[in-house]
Amino acid sequence: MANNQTILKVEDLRTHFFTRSGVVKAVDGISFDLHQGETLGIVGESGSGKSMTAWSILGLVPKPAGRIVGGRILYQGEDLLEKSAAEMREIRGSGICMVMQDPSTSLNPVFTIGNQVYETLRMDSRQSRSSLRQKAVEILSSVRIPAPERRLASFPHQMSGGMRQRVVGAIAMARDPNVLIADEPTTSLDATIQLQYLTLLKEIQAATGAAIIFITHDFGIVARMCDRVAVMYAGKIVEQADVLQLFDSPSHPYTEALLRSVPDLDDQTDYLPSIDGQPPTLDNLPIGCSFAPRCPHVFARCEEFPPEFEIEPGHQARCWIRYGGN
Amino acid sequence: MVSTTTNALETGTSGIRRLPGQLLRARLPWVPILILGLILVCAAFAELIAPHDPLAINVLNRHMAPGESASHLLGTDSLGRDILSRLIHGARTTVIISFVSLLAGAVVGTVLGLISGYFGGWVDAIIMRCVDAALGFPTVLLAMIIVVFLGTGTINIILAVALTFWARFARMARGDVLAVKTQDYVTLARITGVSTPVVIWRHIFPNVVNTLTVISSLLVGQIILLEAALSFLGLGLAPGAPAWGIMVAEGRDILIDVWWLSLFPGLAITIVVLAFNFFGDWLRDTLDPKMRQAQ
Amino acid sequence: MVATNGAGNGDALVRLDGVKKHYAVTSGLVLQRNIGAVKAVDGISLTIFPGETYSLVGESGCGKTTTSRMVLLVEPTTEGDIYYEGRPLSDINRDERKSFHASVQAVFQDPWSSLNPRMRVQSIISEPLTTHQRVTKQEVRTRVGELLETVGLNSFHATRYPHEFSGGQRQRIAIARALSTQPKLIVLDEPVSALDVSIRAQILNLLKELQSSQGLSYLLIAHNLATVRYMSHRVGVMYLGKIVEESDPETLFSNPMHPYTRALISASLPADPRRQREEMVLTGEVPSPLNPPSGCTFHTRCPFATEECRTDIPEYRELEAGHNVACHLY
Repeated sequence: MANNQTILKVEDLRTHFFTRSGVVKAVDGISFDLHQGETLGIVGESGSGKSMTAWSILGLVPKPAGRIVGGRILYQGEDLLEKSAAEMREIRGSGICMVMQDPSTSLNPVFTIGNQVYETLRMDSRQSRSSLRQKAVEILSSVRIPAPERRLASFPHQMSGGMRQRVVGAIAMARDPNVLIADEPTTSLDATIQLQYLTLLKEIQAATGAAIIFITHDFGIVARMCDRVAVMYAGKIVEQADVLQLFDSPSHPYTEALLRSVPDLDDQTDYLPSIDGQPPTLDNLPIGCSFAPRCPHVFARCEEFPPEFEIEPGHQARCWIRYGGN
Repeated sequence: MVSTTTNALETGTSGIRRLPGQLLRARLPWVPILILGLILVCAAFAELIAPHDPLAINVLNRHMAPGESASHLLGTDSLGRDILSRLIHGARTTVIISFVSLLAGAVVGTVLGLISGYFGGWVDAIIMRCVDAALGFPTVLLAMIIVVFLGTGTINIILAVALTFWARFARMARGDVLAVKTQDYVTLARITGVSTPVVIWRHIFPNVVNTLTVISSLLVGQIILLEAALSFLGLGLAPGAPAWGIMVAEGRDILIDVWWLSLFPGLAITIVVLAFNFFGDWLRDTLDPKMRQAQ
Repeated sequence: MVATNGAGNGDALVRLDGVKKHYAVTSGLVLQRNIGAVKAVDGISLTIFPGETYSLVGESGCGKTTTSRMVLLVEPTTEGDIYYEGRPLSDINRDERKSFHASVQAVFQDPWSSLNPRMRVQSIISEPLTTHQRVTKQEVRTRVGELLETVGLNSFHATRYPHEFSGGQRQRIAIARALSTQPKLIVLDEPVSALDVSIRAQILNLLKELQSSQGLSYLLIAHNLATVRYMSHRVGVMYLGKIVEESDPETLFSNPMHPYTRALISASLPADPRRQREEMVLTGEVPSPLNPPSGCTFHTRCPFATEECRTDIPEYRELEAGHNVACHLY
């Protein structure tokens, strides 16, 4: 695992939405550390707040409905919530970059790939046209775009989804960020292309030493890519652990049930244990544990919101059944 | 950029199904509604409301200024007819012509738009070329041709207006159909063996109605203006009939001296058209907030 | 020809025999010339037996959805024929067509698009029923209530509108609709991939239960191999409009033969950091079906390709009992 220097520290972050029908607590008091060179997976279903966590870190919470109402986001020791809009733009330009789910909307359809790569390169330094071009070719070939010289003149629609996503990744990595946030970057890709992309991302990470926050709902990707994992449910982190700890001894009933409900290719079974009920709607959450209505182990204590219990060093879960150091 | 979270929030609050409730809860535009209500009452009960016969000629009382006589509040015209009574009866002409031609245009246009969008191919190509032609052809010229061949009269003016406006409905309906027909529930209905007319009626049409309601209310204003313009040019109703456009035309030669002849019908047209436009805007914002963002 | 199958009982319910779907690509505005054909489906044969699930897997553009649309009569075949209970679909009369529509239904991926937002659940579910049978209002109400309970909802849900339900519940409504005419075959096109992870197992289990209680056959279109293994009795792997390998899931996933199947398995990430698969990262992307490669269409990405693969089309043949492969390696 990576060295232990913390590059990003999120403390008790709360991002709420103020809508006509009430306050929606999209992110409600989450804390985690991201160390240099490591990959943190944030796992959750739609509406669990995993994407909003990323947007909060980047200072891109949709206004005016959304507001960060509490907590701190320390990047290299400085609180991002106290930065001005201009400072945040600079940090997004070179410190913390993001790759989004849908590559087709991350690239501007009316500019060539070359133009969009140049734009990134120009942001940090003045360079001659030919050296710009050479750098762009290097970047594209680093993400295995075939014939990069010719691709500079292509428009996004002339490329396949996998190639576009690699270009988006290339543009993000060209800024040499310290933190890369990847929000389900492979959901729109086919399996074999996804594997190509994930392998590439690992290689780039090894070369640049960037820390990655990988947002996903797929435990297969978590198992392959991540060093640490945070499981989110209804705006809260319910379990946080090293990847081996999580898969070896899932300690929150939600994680446990979710892992068991995913079919396994290497195993012939006739029945999958499934989770009852529906995912929660954030504007109508129970007072105590949000998972209680679907939990097989629910008991009286669950009406109270559970604190974080330490299962083993580096492994915490928010569940009352862990009360008393179980 | 919209996140999945905000999407999830929105789906909870903007179901298309809650529209009637939404209409009731929204703040009603009282001024336009009052004006339009007044016009409708005038149109329905013109005989009861109007103080005089709109066609009664009294040359002795010609060109009476507004307020000159208590029985002719808005004055009289060159033949001594009561302007207020003519305005009230004119409302009926306006309402009948605009609503009937709107209805005719909407029905024809929507049906053709549904067919065009649903079937596509050469059917679509033919209908859309007709739409282009109809939108490209000057309305006044079209009305002149109709009047030359069929003569003046209410029916012919309705025909001229409907022939112009059906194309707008056809184009709007077609656009909506193209969006709706790719929805899985349309494919599923076909897989189930539901017949094509039923698919269109049950699954496509209800999703087009909102848009059509909104553009209808926005088009009424334009239709009233068109009807007035045609009447003004003498292409509409017979001269002397109580129509606002004709009344404006009758006063234009003596506008400086006898200003009230043209002013009051002109004001009536302006107010009614504005009222319809405000009402239409409100309806659009309430029924279809997405349309507003797109504009 | 297609091998017989252990899991199926009796005669084939649906059989595809050399089915092709080509889309002509034309150029020129007035005088249109054909300049080629997109070979979306290029000669596939398969058999679905009563009570079993046949799955088609492959990446986007491989033709699996087009195949299902031909089975559903949404699109005509270009060549080849589809047989339903032994009768070719190209040669059925009006009445037979009606009864076919009643006995073959579908459930699609996106539960937000598959339910008309302006209809009540009752009308949605009963649409196939009222289209094919004369039923009274009371009968409709009773049947819809039964169906809702069959799929794990309540009969009082009948008067609600789709937007009042979550994704998983909507997919249950879509399944209830498909069941309303007591069909024999349901085409499932990615039935869980749009749903939340915690809901997927619920829906898969429901589908399995319905299969055993009602003797349904499924044609499952999916890209997730683990889901396919869980659901299927027989699996066909598609690449560029052709089935390249077909077998029962046990054999297919423990002893894959075609290099493409092996690559797909390698790309399916196990939810276990300690488990490593044979690494087989394919280079390049799926070629366009407009001008597919010569010989074996997979040779451009295949790590084992030889000269023969570039020129000769491999024969699709049975290598072991019930295990068909189209590859020059064997």
